[in-house]
Amino acid sequence: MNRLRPAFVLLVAAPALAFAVLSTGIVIQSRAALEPELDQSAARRALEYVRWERSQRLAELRAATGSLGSQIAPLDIARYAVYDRAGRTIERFPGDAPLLSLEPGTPQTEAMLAAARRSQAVVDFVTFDGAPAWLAYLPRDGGIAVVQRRVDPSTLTRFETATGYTLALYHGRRRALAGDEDFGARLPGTFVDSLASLDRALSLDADRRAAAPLKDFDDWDAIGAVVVAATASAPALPPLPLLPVSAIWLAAAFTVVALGWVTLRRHPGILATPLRRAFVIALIPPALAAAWAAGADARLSARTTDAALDLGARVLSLVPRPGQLPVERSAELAGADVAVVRAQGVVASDPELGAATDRVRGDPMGRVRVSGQRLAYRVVSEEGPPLLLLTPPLEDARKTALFWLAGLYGALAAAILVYASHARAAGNAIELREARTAWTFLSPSLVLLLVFSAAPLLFAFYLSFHRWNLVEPAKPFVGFEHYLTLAGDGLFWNAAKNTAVYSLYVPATMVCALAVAILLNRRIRGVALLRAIFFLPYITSFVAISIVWQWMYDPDFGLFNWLLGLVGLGPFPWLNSPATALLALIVLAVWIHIGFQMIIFLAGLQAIPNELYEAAMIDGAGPWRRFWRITLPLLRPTTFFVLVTSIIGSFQVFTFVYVMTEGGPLHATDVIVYHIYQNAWQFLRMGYASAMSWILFAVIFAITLAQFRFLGRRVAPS
Amino acid sequence: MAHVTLRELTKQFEDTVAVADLDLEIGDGEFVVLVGPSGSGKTTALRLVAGLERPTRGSIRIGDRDVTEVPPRDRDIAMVFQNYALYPHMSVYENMAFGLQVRRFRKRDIDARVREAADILGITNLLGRKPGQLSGGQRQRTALGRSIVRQPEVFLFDEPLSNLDAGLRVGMRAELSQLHRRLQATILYVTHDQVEAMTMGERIAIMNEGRLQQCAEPLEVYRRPANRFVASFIGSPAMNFFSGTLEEADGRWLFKGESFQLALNAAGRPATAEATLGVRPEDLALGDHGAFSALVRVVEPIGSEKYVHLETPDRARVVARVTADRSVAVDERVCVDIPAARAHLFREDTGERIGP
Amino acid sequence: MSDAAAASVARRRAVNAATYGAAVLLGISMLVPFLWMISTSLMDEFEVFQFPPRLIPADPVWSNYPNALTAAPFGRFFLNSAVMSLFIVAGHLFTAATAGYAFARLRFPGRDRVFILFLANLMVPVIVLLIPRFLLVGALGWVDTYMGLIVTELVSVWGIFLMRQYFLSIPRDLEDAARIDGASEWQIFWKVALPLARPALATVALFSFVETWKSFLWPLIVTRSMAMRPVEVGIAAFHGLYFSNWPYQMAAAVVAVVPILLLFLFTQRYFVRGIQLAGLKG
Repeated sequence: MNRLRPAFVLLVAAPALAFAVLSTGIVIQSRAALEPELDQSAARRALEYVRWERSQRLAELRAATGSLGSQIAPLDIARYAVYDRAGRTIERFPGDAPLLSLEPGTPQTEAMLAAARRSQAVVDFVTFDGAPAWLAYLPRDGGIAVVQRRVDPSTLTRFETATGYTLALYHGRRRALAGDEDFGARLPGTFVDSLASLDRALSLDADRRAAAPLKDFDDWDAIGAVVVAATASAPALPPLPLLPVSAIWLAAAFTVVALGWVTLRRHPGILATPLRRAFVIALIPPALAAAWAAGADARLSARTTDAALDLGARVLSLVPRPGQLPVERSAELAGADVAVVRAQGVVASDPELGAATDRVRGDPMGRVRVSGQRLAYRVVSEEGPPLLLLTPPLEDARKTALFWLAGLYGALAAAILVYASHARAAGNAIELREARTAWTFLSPSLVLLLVFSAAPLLFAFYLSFHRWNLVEPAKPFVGFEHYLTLAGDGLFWNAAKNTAVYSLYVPATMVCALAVAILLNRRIRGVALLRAIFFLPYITSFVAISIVWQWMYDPDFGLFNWLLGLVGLGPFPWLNSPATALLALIVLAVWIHIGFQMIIFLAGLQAIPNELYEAAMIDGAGPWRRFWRITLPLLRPTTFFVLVTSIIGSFQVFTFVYVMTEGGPLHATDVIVYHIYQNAWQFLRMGYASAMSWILFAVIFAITLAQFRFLGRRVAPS
Repeated sequence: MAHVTLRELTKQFEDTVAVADLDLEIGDGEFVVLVGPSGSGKTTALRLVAGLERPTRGSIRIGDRDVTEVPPRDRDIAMVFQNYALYPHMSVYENMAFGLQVRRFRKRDIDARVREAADILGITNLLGRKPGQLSGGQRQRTALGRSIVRQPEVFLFDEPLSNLDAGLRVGMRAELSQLHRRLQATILYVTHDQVEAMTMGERIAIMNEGRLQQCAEPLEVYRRPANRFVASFIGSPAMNFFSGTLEEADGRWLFKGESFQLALNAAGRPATAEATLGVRPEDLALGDHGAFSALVRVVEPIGSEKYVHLETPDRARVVARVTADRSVAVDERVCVDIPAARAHLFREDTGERIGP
Repeated sequence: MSDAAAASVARRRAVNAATYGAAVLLGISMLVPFLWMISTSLMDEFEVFQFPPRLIPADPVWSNYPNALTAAPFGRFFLNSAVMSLFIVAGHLFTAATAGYAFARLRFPGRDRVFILFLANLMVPVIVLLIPRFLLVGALGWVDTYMGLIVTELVSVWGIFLMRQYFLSIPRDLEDAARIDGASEWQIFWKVALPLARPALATVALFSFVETWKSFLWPLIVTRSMAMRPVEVGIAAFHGLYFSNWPYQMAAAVVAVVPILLLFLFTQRYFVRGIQLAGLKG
């Protein structure tokens, strides 16, 4: 008995300790993930701000020249000059910037003018004054404009003052402009590549530096990066609270010690009673850890949201009269949805948010519920109409972390309770050892089934109450919307109807299979080969079979129409007509399943004692009577089993439909699984598809339960 | 070798008690047979000793160790099963070597022990065969060999001869006794066959309905059965019983049956009035005079002797065993005498033995 | 022999001959799609579109096979199928043997309830699980990898059921004997129970292999690149690419069918037994 005690400590206390470590780890990890997210958000704000600046300069430029097309939308115009056809300067910007001198009459000027005239538009990059520049033809006066891509350094400093983030621009990997000397001259090459390919903000390093990809004028290719670095005045997350962390660790350590003490103390007889208490004690620290982790995580999350909103508000403050901007523009700048409250009404970047403004009274910031989702908001109203910034609902990694945490706690609690109940029920070293061996043996299957079957089943249920599109970040809760939609969805009912019609192949196959089984239930030469032949379709590749049958069903050159033509029938359109396509699938299904059912019927037939037939023959019963009075009644359990399992199987037909008809023509062969597949993976409506699949599950579940009840009562073999 | 001590051993399955408060001491090197009708709990008791079942209560000691909570492999026991339980996928050699292999014996030692055991049992030529290719007796020997090679402290036998045919059984019985002498092993042997029990056991423990009825040397059990159950279970044909009353007459006990009276060699006041008188068939004397007269209904000659089934005046059936040369005819009326010295008395209520 | 008896014998013979003939005829008609597949796979592009169809190609075009097989990475398809099947079969054997043994032979509180829960998995249609599984595999970064193809499929509840039934049929005394011989629970499982369960393991392996080889929907969902497609999905993709070239498609179909066909021919016995075992559970 004593030898087991260290094992008890290991089994109970170690998970508790591990759980405390895990919870702490999750919060540390969460914090480690949140701050970079905040910085990335800052990088995006910086990018939007730079884009806004660019558009301002572009507007000024356009006003000045009246002719620069939208295609000349360089990102970060620093200076430009407009020349007439002779090369004389007409315009320059900014006024005090060093002039771009294009000497009239020089070969360089002539070449540039010629190139600009030829293209009648933008000439590609030129190197001008040692820096890249755009060259544009101005049709109004036949002159050209040279525009150099720079951002006014004051833009950067203003951003830094407002947000606490220093800012730098990189063209390609090269630094183009920086507000602070901390930035390196070049970015790592792979970093720029991943920035370009991922098309989202990334953290550059652990020093709270983040970057967002800078796009070209089509907003298409990434040509560089906007990099931000947090300074002391940048928003930051609070450091990890050490007190709860150490409390949790202490509690866990206490558990270990207490358990060790309790279990190592000598107890006469069975060790269940002290152990059960120890088990319960062991559950407390993990619960504390989980609760703390959940709370700390939620607080961190809320803090991040507020900081991000604050950042958005600060960036908006850089813009003169932000209330006058189009809301979509200010939403981009702020990185949040924006509602502007004007005298004549509310203008919001998301129509659903407009209503929220009414509910925000007094408080400049807080939480508000909009169509079932909790949003963080902040009111900004310095000059002009008040703005309301709202973050999108928080959904991301931290929720997942908490989900795992809860799941793990559940698993731990379950394991401990199972173990405790064993300790109580068995209380004996030998039986306990056996139970432990059993759970060890079961654990691979159990874990795999939990992770890949049980959890997905519940997750599908969860999904069915959410709008869950693979590519959209927001996955809002929609309640019973999917189920209500389903009720009125003609295509769903069509698929259900088709599935039901398709399942008619089952009785048809059963009749054939029973006939074949009776035919082959005798000792004749080659019977094994014949059975194998009937069984063959069932084990071969369904895709290959589908292809072959599609070819045989070909209305013009197929085997079927030719054979039917020989006896004066047809031609039939088979798969090409809504009237016959489903029938064609049913015929195929009969051919495929006949062998499978035959084998089961054969087993059933062979289980009928021969004496019964002999007795019936002596009683004078002919073959028909023997079939109806002996074979069929005694085959009833087999028949019932084949019927139910085959119907359940028929509800899940997919391959033939996918390969042969793709649900067509005109949804004539659209069966339920194919319909679900299409919704989930072609239309990406995974929530809706999950709702359908749960309905299918419910139907199959009901059928199976009915089967058990029926089997139990009526057809149980005596 | 070691002695085995069972103390208040109890095993309860759901709502039935298979073994109840079993106290049993098996001496070092002793051959004890646990016998009883089927369902008497003897096999459960054996499995408890083996560690295959866990006792509900009580303790088991082997040698100086309390093994109640010790798994079978650490109890240093070997067991021969009723169906031999030979591993069908292993050869005879492998079957015998398995227990040594899992205990990580050296190959050389394993080989030596297996061959020695095979030699003792005379199955050396079968070592390469699989159990499926063996006859019943050969399987029996293999199962024995499997237990011998381990050289355990205690051997447990669970009706090992019940699957053999009658001739083989007699042979194996003698062989097992011989083996016991040779190995000087402590053996607990379960059987439902009283002949096996009587011929092989140094002591017999008789069980019924989970309880130990008597544990004594075979002849003691036969001569002085502790209760009515033991008396009826041991001996073939079974003991004859007469119900009646017991009273004191002239300072001695007087048994009054339905159709006879018998003065017994016991003095004093009987403890009970209601009693059962038991007489073994061979102790009934058929003659011209006796306690009562009876009608001969059936005569079964079995060669060396005859079993005579009699009907007493009160229509009870009685069996007497007489020598083969005694002539008895069916429907003959004979007188039956009960020798007082050979009569057993049992309490009517508890069935316990009373009197001398 | 009387006339009546002779007539009866003659009639019985006639009936037997008729049923035999019917059985053979039916059997041949079952084979028609396979024969037609082989025949078409050897036709050239023009011969295919003749009406009435030619049953046997006038001049077999054997080059259809190399041409079709090089038109798509069939080698890779087969490799993928083989890798997938190998791991999944191994997984099924492992989980079925261990869990089946635990359910059949080891005693622990709640065993039967847990077993019912395991069996309840058979009621769940796979499609319900596919969306969450896909999201899960996606979150783990296993889309379009062997891991994604394999990891969700490692347990076969049917296999566990079959193994449990088989273990139950092994006499318990054998394990008790091993226990007394000093074997640990693991040794009893590994050295006594498992070797005796070889026939059941063979059945589970065969069925798992065929089921895995034929599996279509999950591989279709979880693979994206041609290089990761197993044979079934690969053929379906090939079907889409060479839609009007029937000889190529038939050649590909033949190639897809042949491995399973060969396996079946040698192991028919086990299939029949496996199906009958599955059938008896109801």
